[in-house]
Amino acid sequence: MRASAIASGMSTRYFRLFFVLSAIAMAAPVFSQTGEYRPPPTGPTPRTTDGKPDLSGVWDPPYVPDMTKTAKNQKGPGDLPFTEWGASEWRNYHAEEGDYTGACLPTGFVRGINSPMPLQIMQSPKYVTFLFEWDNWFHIVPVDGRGHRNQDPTWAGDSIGRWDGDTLVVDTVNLNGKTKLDTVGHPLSDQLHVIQRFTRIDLGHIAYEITIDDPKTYTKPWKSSRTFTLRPDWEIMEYSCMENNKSLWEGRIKPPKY
Amino acid sequence: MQNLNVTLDETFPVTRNRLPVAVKALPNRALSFIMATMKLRNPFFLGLLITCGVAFAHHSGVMFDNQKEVTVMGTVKEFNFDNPHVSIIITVTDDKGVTKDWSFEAASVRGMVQAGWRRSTLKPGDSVTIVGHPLRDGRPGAQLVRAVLADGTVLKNNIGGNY
Repeated sequence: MRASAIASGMSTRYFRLFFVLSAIAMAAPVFSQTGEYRPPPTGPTPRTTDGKPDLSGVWDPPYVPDMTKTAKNQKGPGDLPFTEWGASEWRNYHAEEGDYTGACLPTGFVRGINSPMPLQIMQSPKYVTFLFEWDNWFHIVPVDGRGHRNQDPTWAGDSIGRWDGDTLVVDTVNLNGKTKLDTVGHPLSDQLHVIQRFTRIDLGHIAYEITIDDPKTYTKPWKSSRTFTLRPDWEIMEYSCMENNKSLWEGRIKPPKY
Repeated sequence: MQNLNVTLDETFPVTRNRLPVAVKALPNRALSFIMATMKLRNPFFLGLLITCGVAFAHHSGVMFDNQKEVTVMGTVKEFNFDNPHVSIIITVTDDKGVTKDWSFEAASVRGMVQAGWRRSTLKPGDSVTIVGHPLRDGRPGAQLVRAVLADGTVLKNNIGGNY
């Protein structure tokens, strides 16, 4: 198709058609999974039969590509207290030279929650389960009073949960250190200890706070907080990560080096 | 790495702010339409428009030059409505009849659905005009910014938004 042919084919007729089609497009009924803002339902915090706050639902967490920043529904610490090792890791990270997510490796718990895709929480008296749309990844957190297991480090790490009043506190250790905290690549090590607090403040919202405690990477623990919004009209979609990963196959990004 | 500029702003309104006042007064859709229908001798019209940064969820978007925009007209060769990124490959023919394939990377399936796209939006053989942030390495590829379909509909990529 020649560019000049397209251009000369355009006329007043197309202009009129364009505006008619625009009007139709704007008036079309919304698709249930669209990103249009709908206020979440209002009401008190729902509770399970055992009286605990019920965190169940499909949640829309704000996309946090950089955990240091403060933005809508997101509060970050600004500058980070890097150790020498942490600063070196941060300076030497270049996504185009190989980021693990580009190769569809597991996002990790922290970066999964930072992603813009929704998160479904399912809850029982013994477990709280996090179902991520990104990579269709899941993470099961026992809340039955057990301690951390003594196991080999993993991508997800070992999480245990407990209730602190109406707040679910999830404590995670034993991570393999192969992930990053966020899209811009803030570093972590295998000494990372993560504390996440989930409080369903009303029917439509969860107040979330995360503490990053990683003495190899940061000289002191630091926090980021945000608000998740309930999306009753959404469902978790299938996410087949390697299906169309042309950027990797065609060499625009590289596989990570481990 | 610290220079990676990540913002939640949409690209197009920022682009508009850098345009002359008379052009800025036009509605977004009209502006896109005019840009798409300019009589271009060379399909590789390079709009050196300053835009804001770009964030990618699946991987960083640093291989694309988000300070530049390229506008390419062609015929759809492939429309892959799959994760991790929807992609559009179009065949472009220059004035000498030489063809070249351009590859555009877009948001995830969810992101594109939220921006109004469907698997049925494009099919091989469709005419389309695409604006994108070109690859830094000079290869014929770009990150999708927006597409103007044959009927004039303008659909944007879900850059930095909720995808």
